[in-house]
Amino acid sequence: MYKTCIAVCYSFAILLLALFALIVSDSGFTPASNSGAFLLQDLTAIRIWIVIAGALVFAWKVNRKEPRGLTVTVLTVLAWIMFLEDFMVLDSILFVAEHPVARAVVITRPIFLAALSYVALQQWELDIA
Amino acid sequence: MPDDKSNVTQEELDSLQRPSPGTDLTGIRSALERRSKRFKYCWLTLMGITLSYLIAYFVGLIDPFMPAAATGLVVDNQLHQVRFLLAFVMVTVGTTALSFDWRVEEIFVISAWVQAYFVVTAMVRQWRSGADEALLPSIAMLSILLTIFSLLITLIIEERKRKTDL
Repeated sequence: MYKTCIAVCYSFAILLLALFALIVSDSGFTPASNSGAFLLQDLTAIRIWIVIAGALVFAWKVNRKEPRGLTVTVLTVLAWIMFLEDFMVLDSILFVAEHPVARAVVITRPIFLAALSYVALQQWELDIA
Repeated sequence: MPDDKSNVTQEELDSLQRPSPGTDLTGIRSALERRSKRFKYCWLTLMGITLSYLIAYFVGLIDPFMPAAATGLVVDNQLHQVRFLLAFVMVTVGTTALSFDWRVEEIFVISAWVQAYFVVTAMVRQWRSGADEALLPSIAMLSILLTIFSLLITLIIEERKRKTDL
């Protein structure tokens, strides 16, 4: 279960990277307004680095067999905050998820959040053991 | 019938009567007394900033300093409200952790990372939303966020020192 959840998290990260690449390169992802476009670019640029850094730090800690409960918890909290921000504020102004990749991200996001939360909880127990 | 009392030592009784970590509601005052002066002052400053921010927000004093004032976007105001709420959730969790003396360092580390996310995104927003026109409000807002961040870092360092000394 733990390894499946990690696989789900990494799959979602790859999906996000694909979406970010599409947003940067494809002009089809046009937000409702110019201000929305700036907001989308700003948040995308910041979040892509959080995703890359999170995935790399986790992989590095796994490789070095270091405790990683705190790292996963920080990433989980940040993921939930980004979800809350998107869900409560940003969804209406950013873009309508019509592209298959964007739709896949929207659909799999709750699964990713549940998987990441499970990994965070499980990781503390594994660190202690 | 065996005498059960004779099998239990005083040390074991004391151990049983001692509250387990995580369920010991010691209160903020005694939790702060067990820590360094720097930790105490940083915590009090953090609470002072939180209280001042709360008052200023409801009075409307910080409205000109927010990104919404520069961009005129409702979404910036809504984003600020969501983060405002999240910040108070963090303060509550931090205070509870300190009261119970349970995973204080970890809670502050998480709060510091969240604050770092808020600072970076706020800086980018201020920069993109025409900070040249409202330089002073932007600097004032960012210095508040950075002060909170540095206070959190100091709290983490002090807590780590305490744990090492124990």
